[in-house]
Amino acid sequence: MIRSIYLLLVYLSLVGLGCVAPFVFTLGYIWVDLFSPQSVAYIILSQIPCALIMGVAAFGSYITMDRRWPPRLTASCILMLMLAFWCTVTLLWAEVPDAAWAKWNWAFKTVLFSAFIPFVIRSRVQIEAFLLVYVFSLAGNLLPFGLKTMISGGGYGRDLGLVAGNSGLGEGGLLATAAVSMVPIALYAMNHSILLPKTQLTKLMLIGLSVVALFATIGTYERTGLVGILVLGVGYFIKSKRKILTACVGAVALLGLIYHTSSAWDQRMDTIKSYDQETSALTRLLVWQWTFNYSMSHPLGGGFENYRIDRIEYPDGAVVFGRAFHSLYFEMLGEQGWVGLTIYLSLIAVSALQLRRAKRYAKDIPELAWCADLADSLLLMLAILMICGAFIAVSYRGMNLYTFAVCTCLGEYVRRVQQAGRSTAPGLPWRGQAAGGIAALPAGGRRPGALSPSGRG
Amino acid sequence: MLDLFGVLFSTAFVIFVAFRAITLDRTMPWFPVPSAQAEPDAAQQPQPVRGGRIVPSWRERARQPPHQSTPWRRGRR
Repeated sequence: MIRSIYLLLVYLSLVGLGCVAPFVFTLGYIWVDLFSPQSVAYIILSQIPCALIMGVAAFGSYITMDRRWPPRLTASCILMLMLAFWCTVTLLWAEVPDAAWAKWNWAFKTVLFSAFIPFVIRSRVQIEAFLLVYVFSLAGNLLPFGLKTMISGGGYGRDLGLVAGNSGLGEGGLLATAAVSMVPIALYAMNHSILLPKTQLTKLMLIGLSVVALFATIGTYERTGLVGILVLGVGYFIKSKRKILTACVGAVALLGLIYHTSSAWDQRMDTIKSYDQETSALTRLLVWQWTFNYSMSHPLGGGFENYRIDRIEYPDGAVVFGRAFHSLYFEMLGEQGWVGLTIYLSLIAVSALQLRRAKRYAKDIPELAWCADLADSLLLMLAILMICGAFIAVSYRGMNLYTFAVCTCLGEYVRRVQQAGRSTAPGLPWRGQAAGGIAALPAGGRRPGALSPSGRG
Repeated sequence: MLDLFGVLFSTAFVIFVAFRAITLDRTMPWFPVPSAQAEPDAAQQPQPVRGGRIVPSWRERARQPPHQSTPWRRGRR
C-alpha cells in the first residue's frame, strides 16, 4: 500500500516536473517503460494507463512548447517510421490476428516513441539525463536481483527482482541482457557526468551498481548473460590502452566468478557446449530452422506472434507446437519477413555508423571528449544488445529501440556542433564547455549563417 | 527489504536526475561553437530589424537571466 502511494507520488512528481520542462515527460515515459511502476505498485498506478499519459504529454508538450533545434529527419528516424508502418501492414495477413493485435498495441507505440526521442533529447544535459534515467530505471529491478544473488545465490527462473513472472524484466534473459548493457553507460557516467555530483561517493555508487548488475546477470543463470559479459570484457579489452592490466583484472574477475558461482551455474553454462543435445538450445535451433523455411515461403512475414503456429519435430520424434523465436533476428524474420529484417539490420548499421562518425569528429576536440567516450560506450552497449539479442526475442523492447534513438541524439548533437564549426577557419580554438562548464552557443540560440532552428522560435 | 531499497534507490535518482537536468538545461548552453564564431566583431554584424524594432541578437539574448532564455519558454513565441 505504502509502496503504491510512494510510486504514485514519484509518477506525479515526474508529471509536475514535465510541466516545467517538457523533456521530462520523455524521461518519465522511459521510467514507466523500464521500471514498470504499474507492475510494482498494487493499486492506483496498476489501474491507470501510466505510459499512455506520459507519452501523450511528451508529444503534446513538445509540439506546443518545445520545438527548438529539431534534428534532421535522419535515416534512423525514417527506418523506425518504416518499421512502425510495416509492422502495421503485416497485420493484414497475420497468422494469429488476435495475438498480433495485442503485440502490435505496445510494439507500435514503442517504435513510434523511439522515433520521437531525438526530437526532444537534444542537448548534452538532456542526453545524459536520458541515459541516467535509463540506468536508474533498470536499477530498480537489477539491484534487488543482484543483491539477493550476492547474499544467497541466484537460480534459473527464480523471481528475485521487483517484477515477477516470465514477462518484461521478470524474464531472466532480458534481465541479464539489460544488466550487462547498462554497465558501459554507468562507467561512462562515472567519468563524464555533469548531472551527478562529482564526488568519490558517486564513483563508488556507479562502480557498485555495475558490480551488482554483473551479479544480477550471473544470478539469472542465463547463458545469454554469459555471452553479454564476454562481449563486455572483450569490448573493454579492445578499448583499453593498458591491455595487460585489463587482462589481469578480467582474469581476477573470472576467477572470482568461478569461485562464487555454484556447481548448478557451471552445469547450466556447460550446456552451451552440448547445444545439440540440450533441449532448450536444440529447440532454438529447430525453431530458427522452421522460421527460415517459413520466411522462404512467406517472404513478407506472418505478422506478430506467428511463432504460435510453428511445429517443431525433435530428432527422437517428439513434436511440439508454438515455441517462441528466442532471437530478435528470427523474430523479425518470422513476423515481419525479409522486409522487416532488412529494416532492423539497417537500423543497427545506421546507429553504429552514427556513433563512428560522431567519435571520429569528436575525438580531436577536447570539449567534445565526452561525445567520443559516449560513442564508444554506446557502441559497446549496442554490441551487447545485438549479440545477446541473437538468443532472446527482444526486437521491440524499449531498451533496444531507445538505444537506437540515443545513438541518433548523439549523432545529431555532434552534427550540429560540426555544422556550427564549419564556417570557422581551421586551427581556431574551441570555446567553452569544459567539464560541466559553459558553451558559447546559448540554449536554443540562433546564429546567423549557422543552423537555423526550424521550430517556431 | 532489498526490494524496497531497489525502489527507493531507483526512484530517488530518477527524480534527482530529472530535477538537476531541468536546472542545468536552463542555464547551460546547448551546443559549443568555436571561439571565432562565439565572439565575432560586433561592428561587422548587421543589426536585424523586424517591425521597426531592432531584433536582439542571440548573444544579447544569451546575456539575459537564465529564466528568460529558457528554450521551451521561448519556443512558444
